[in-house]
Amino acid sequence: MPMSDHVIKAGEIHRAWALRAFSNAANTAQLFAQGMDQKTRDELVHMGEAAWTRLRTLRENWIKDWAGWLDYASELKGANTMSKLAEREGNIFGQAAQILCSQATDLVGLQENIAVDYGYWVSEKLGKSNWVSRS
Amino acid sequence: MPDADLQLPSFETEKQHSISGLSSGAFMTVQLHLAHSACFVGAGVVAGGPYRCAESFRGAAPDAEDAFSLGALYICMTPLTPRTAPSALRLAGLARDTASANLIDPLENLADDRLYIFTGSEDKVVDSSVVKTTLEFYRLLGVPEKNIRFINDVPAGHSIITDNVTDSPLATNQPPYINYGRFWQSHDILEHIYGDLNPPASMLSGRFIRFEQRGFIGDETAYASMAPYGYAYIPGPVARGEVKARGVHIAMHGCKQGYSYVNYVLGKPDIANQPPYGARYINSTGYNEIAETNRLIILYPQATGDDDNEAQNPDGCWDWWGYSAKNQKNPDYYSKNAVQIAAIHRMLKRLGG
Repeated sequence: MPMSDHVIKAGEIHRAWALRAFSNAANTAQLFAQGMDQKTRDELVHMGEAAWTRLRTLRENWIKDWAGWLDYASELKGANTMSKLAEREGNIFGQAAQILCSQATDLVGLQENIAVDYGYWVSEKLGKSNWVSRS
Repeated sequence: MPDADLQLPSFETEKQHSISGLSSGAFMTVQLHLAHSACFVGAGVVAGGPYRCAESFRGAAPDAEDAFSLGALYICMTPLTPRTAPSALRLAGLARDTASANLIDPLENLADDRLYIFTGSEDKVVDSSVVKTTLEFYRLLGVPEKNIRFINDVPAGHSIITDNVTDSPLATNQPPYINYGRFWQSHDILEHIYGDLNPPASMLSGRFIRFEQRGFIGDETAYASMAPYGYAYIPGPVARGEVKARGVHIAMHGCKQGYSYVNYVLGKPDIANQPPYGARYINSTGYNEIAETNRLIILYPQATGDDDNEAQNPDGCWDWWGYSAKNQKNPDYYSKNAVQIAAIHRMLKRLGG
C-alpha cells in the first residue's frame, strides 16, 4: 500500500536521527570524560557561534519573507471580478503556506546541519575512524 | 536505437583534453579528472569540493547512501566551520586507495596537469573552506604549485562569471548561477590550462551539435539521471577540416543548469512556467567563443532532474554523492565504472579520441 511508505520511511529517518543523537551524546560524554584542551574548547565555541550566526540569518530572511507577504496581503489590487478575487485570496493563503513550509524546511535543515557537523567533529576529536564500514 | 542524425561525430585531435565545471559540475569535474587523469591535461573547478568528500562521515546515518547525502549537504557544501569541512589529507589517502584498486587512473598522471580553482567570497551554496580543501587535496596528490591558480578574493556568489551585463549581479546566489562580473571565467580557465590563447571570436562560424546521450549510458537510464540529449560545439576551422583540433574541453553545468531543467513546485514539475534558462550554460558562458579561435571542441554533457525516479535528483545535479548507484550499501559514483563517468568518458572518446 503506497501510504505505508509514509510510516516506513519516516520511521527509518527518525531512527537514523535518534541513532545520530545518541551517538553524539555518547561521544560528547566521552570527550568530556577525557578532558578538553584549549584548542578543542575554542573549536566548540567557534561552532556554536557559527550555528548562532546561521540561525540569525534565517530569522532575518524569515522577517523579510513575512514583510513581503504582508505587503501583498494587505490589499486586493486589481481584483475586480469574482475569479480574480478568488485567485488573489488563494494566492495570499498559498504564499503563507509556502513561507511556513519553507521556513520549517530551513529550520530542520539547520538542525540537521548542526547535528551532522557536530557528530563529525566529535568523532574526529575522539579519533574514531569515519571510513571503516561502508555497509 | 539512437537516431542516426543525432549521433556524436568523431574528430581527429591532438588529445589535449581538459574539463571544467561549476558546483555539482565542479565536484564531477574533480571525479572525472581523477577517474580518467590519463586523458586530461588540466581542469577548472568553480565552487567544487574534493574527491569523495561526501564520504567524510560514515556515522551520519545507518545506510551508506543516506550518510553520503548528509555528508554532501553539510560537510561538503555548508560546514559550520573549516574544522567541519572535509579533510584533504584523508581524501588524498582515499584517492590513493582507489587508484591502487585500479578503479581510477594512476595518480601520477596529475603531476603535470594544470588546475584552475575558484571560490567566490560571497558564495553561500558551497562554502569557501570546502573549495580550499580541493586546493589542498590536489597539492597532496603532487600537483606542483606553479601549475595551480587559486582564486578566492572575487566577491562573487555561487556562479560562473561572465561579461554579459544581463546576467545576475555578481554577489547573488540564485539560479541560473550565471553572474555578471566584467570578465569571462571560461576564458580564464582555458587560458590557465592551455597557456596563451588567441583572443575569442566575436562571431561563431562553427557547428552546434545535439546528440543522443542514451547510446552512451547503457541500460542504467533510470539511475543515470542524464537528459535525452547532450551538446557539442565544433569550432569553424575544425568543422570545415582546415585544422586538427587541439582537444576536447568538457564543460559541466551545475544543478538547475541543464537544458531540460524544470523547477519542482511542491514536488510537481512546473512545466507551464519553465525557467528561462534553457541552454544558457551552453551558449552564453563564453566557452564557444574562445574555442572557436583556439581549435578546441567543447562537449556539454547534460544531467536532468526528476523527483520521482530511482535517482531522486530533482535539481538535475551531477552525481557526486551516490544517487546514481544501484547498490545503496556501497555506492559507486566515483570510479571509471560509475554510470555518469563512464558515459561522459565514452562521449569524449567518440568525439576526440
